[in-house]
Amino acid sequence: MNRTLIAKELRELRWKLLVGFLALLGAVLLMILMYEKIQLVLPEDTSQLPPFVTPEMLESLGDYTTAMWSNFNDKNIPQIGTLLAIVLGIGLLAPEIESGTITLLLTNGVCRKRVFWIKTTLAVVTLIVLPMVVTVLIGPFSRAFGYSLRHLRQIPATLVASLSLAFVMAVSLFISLLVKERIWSGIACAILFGL
Amino acid sequence: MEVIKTRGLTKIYGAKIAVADLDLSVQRGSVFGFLGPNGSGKSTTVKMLLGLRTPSRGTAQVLGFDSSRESHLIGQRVGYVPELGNLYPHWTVQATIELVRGLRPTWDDSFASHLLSLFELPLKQRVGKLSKGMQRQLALLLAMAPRPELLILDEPTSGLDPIKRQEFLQVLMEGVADTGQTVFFSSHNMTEVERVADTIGILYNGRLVVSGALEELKCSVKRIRVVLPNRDSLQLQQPVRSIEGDNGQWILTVERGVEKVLAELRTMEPVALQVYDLALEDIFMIYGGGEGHEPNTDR
Repeated sequence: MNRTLIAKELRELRWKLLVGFLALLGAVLLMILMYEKIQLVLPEDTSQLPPFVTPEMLESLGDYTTAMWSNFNDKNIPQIGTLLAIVLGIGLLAPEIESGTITLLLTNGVCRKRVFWIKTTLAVVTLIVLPMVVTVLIGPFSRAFGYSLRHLRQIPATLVASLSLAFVMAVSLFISLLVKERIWSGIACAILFGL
Repeated sequence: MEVIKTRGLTKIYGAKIAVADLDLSVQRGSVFGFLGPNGSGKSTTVKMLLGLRTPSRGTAQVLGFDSSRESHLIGQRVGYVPELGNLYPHWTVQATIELVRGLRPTWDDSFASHLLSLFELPLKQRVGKLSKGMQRQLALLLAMAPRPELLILDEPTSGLDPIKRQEFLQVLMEGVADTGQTVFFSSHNMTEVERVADTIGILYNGRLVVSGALEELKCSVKRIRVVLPNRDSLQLQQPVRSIEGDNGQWILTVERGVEKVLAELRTMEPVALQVYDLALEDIFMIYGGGEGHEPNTDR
């Protein structure tokens, strides 16, 4: 029964996962391409830079691993990942309850707790695995563009960032169950996490 | 043995009592027609039986399991065709069948194939693109293929044209005849219930107003036309459900003891005395309030 339910959920999630994966991957590729461009536009004389550019910022721009680390974990995951977490959270249970399709599961011997835990666990695992896979892929992509990346620094940070996505997903799920309507749930979550 | 047993089953939504103190008993192997006008509480009752709604009070047992606490055990043994579709519209027929097949260990592949070819369901078609009739057939296939002990059908033929309805009922009855399954058939369509049911219960305003074997009910409930030209009014000692008419002509509706009523009427020397059998539809109109009567809850 669990295998059937997991297969069913993966079937339901597949397009969201694919879009999320491609969005993160696209962001990574863009980051790698932009890194070289940023290096080129930086003036050799750093005194010409505006005062808000601190030495730490310059250091992070100078070091490829640091640049990747800060961009991916500080920008891409919180932005793309949060969006994905909200989409997963509001699409997890509320649409099934709204459309009545959940009764197909409940009247075929699946208990409510099992439906809830399988759906939630899969969403959490997805939100952890997806950024991790993309993080791992940054290495080969970087090498392909002639950069060297210190991976060990990247992975724990992504793991922490991914766990925060699980929290976003859980809150979105809760809001969607309260609001019971997908669009308004999405708007509420976007306002909440956008702020 | 009772397959379905409810005691004082009640569901209240705000100020509205959807189902009130329902005492229902469905015996194993019977085809129980659960009748009632729209909004009488049939679907709410079905949902409570399946554990999809929690009763406000009272208990419901299905196959010996408590529907509030053990609904998943009921789900493993029951086939359910809902009033409104509960299938994933963007899934294909094949994927939908595979899903339910994976959830039901008792799934009978050969029977499912038989039903699939009988209904001519296109496996690659998305469920949402199927006609309403085909969606109903798919729902019936999903309910019957696990060979459940009990089939619960909630208005299964609503929205189907007469031919599809006929086919649906035929497949249902053939399947049931083969296995001796119990069927709980909720409907407001008298004709189809009369065709398939051996026992009925009529729900009116959330209350069970009559329940019993269909043939017994049809034998006991009669209508009598009597012409007594010399009388202005008619009063009987024998109990009757209703007396209508005037000017020496009356129509009596008798629930039981028709022979005693006839004997009393004969003593009045009528010029005409006729007894009419009633169809289920007429009985439903009597108990379901269709004739403006208050339903009799004594029965």
